[in-house]
Amino acid sequence: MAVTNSKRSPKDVAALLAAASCALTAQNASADWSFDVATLLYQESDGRVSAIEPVISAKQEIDSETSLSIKVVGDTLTGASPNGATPSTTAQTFTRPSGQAGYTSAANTTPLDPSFKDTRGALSVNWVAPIDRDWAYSLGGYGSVEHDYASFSGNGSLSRYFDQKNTTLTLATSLGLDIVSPEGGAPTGLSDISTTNNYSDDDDDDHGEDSDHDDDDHEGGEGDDGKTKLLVDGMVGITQILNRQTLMQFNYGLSYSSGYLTDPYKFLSVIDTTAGSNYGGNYQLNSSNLYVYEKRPDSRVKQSLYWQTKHQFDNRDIFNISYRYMWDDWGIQSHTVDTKYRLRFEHLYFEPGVRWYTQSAADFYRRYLTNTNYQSVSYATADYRLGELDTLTYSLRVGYKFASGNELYGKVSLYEQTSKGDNGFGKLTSQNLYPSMQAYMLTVGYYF
Amino acid sequence: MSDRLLSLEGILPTYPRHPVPRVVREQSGILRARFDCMASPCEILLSDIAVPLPEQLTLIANAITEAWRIEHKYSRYEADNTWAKLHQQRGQPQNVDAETQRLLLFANQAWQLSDGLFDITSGILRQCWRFNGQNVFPEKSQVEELLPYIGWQRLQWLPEQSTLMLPNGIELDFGGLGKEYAVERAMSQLLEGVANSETYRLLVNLGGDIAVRCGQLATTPWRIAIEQADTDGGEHSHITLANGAVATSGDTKRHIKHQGKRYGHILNPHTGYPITAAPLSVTVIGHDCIQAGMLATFTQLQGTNALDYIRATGVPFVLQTAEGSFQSE
Repeated sequence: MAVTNSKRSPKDVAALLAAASCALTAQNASADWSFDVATLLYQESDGRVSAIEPVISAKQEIDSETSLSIKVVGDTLTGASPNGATPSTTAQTFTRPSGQAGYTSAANTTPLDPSFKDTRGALSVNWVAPIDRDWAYSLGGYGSVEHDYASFSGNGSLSRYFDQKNTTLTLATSLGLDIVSPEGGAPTGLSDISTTNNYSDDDDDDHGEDSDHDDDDHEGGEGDDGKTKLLVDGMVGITQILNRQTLMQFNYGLSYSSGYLTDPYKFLSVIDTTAGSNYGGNYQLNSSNLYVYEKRPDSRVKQSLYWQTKHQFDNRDIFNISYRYMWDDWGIQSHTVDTKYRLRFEHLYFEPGVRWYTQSAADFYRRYLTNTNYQSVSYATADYRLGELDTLTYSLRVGYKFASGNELYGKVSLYEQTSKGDNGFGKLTSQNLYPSMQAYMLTVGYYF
Repeated sequence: MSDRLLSLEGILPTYPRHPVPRVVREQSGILRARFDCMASPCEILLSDIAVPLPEQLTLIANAITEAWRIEHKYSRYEADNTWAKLHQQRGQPQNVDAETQRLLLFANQAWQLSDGLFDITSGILRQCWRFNGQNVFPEKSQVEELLPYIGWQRLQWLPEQSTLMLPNGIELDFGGLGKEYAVERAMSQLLEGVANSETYRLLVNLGGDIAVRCGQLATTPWRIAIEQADTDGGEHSHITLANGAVATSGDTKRHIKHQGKRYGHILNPHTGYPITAAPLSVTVIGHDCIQAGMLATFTQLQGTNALDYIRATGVPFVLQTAEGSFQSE
């Protein structure tokens, strides 16, 4: 051990001393991990989708401003999901691609695809650290895989503090790639679902493979003609501490997606406009009902404005309210108001919350197509998630904090969704085209 | 509403060497605890609307306990503490505990970063240099006799195995960083208790070495007065600080006058003599108390170059010499 002759600059000495001092005061040389282990149970009304979702989050706080977070989510979905077709006075049979068994939906019920099941695994990693007194950054990555869908993204943010950290300006961006590998290949938009050779070729040219190959491969989701979706997001936000009890945040977000944005498992009914006994019934082509695959534009630009305020009262209760306005070039506008109030007692807290969401329909949303327009529309979807929609969620979270800082918590939520829109004509008017849906969510978790 | 006197009785272990701390809840809602530690008057200030009063008192008791624990562990004046045991086993390899290990590691880094000027083995120079007002200037031979026992490089230390061999005659002195370390450890105790809050305001002051921390939602930073040397608290400059530390090196009362020259109490481990032309005092506003304290000491050790040195660190400071007071821009 010898004194080094090369003199360090005093500036370096100051920085190295700060680092050495951090190492000295850290009680246990290695930083502690904290964990949050929770399970979510989700159940839709009328036996529709149910899900079990275990979540494990781990966080290592290296110091008050530096942390590494890892989150692993697994979920298993089962049940049935609306396929887009309208209910009908007669039973409806739907064929499926690649020779799989079709399914039949009873008369006067909303047609559901009963094979809606999937297992998904997702992993996200996030790193947050300061650059210096005034700047901080974060970097993250995300990946999720299910048998017909894979999603990967990377994100980063840069924050600048002003006014003794009372004001934080944040710029964030993320870049994502989704790969959709529908069972049996991606169908051609707006084509008849009963036709078997209706898979779009535009991606196949590169592979030069025939469609049989795809059929053999549909379970793997790898190496077949996966469709891709590119997602680019940008956000600029400002967080302002108004006083020692109140925090306010404003964000503007811009999101661009391009590629395969269509849902390969959704379609639309074609309704007969011919005057007569079948007016408003399913249009027949080759003496069977005609359904066509949905088709969405291959790009979407979304913008959003977000405002949030958090206030802590003198009795330690916390009130949290946020509002989001979103609009996109598909013609959808949505408003979200989310509010929570946390009543805090010595160890226990109760947090009731209400969330209200409303959205207008996309320009190309059609509950159904007709025999006169199905060949002329450029895009169409009957997916209720792109229609006129209102949802209301009531929730109650209860937590118990132990003296050790560990916390046991549970949350119940009741979700109510109502849709509305064009009620059709003729026979269709007697059908409930916009069934409402309820869902229940139960989360139990432990933080330690 | 007037200030309220509170008691830590029952939640604080009693140390016979120290009077019971005095805790007052001031009109502003701030809890102020005054206590003695390391022969200095100390205080802890705490306010947090999100933490109930009994918990606040427990936090203060924990923080004081931590400062006293460190004092007791490394004090040179106790019979069977860690420091005493360390020195009883001189001349043979011994294992050191994790905390002592970290302190040695830090001392090693400080020694390197100061090019050997900050040396925790230089404490034995006190045997000939007594800055107690008696104005005794040692003989040259007295100083030279001690030099073979000074030098961090003389230690045989294997950090990986937590093994230390302390040669006979060598003495470790944690006084140069113990107080700053105790400030930050006491602060850690307070921070643990307010981990779920955003509204805390904390200050730990051990004899003028200060650390402060404020939560995200605590908008009023601390206002700290910096005393000017030689004015006995007459003139102050103030700084405001939400998160950071203030430490001072230099004690105008601790010096010796010899043949018309003033010798301050900062000693050069290479020569055994006081650093010449060191500033009267250096106050550094740093990231944490240990960093601030070390930078203040390093600055003193630069002697005539002190002002250039502290300026070059880029860290805020107040430096006082016989010529006047200098501050960072």
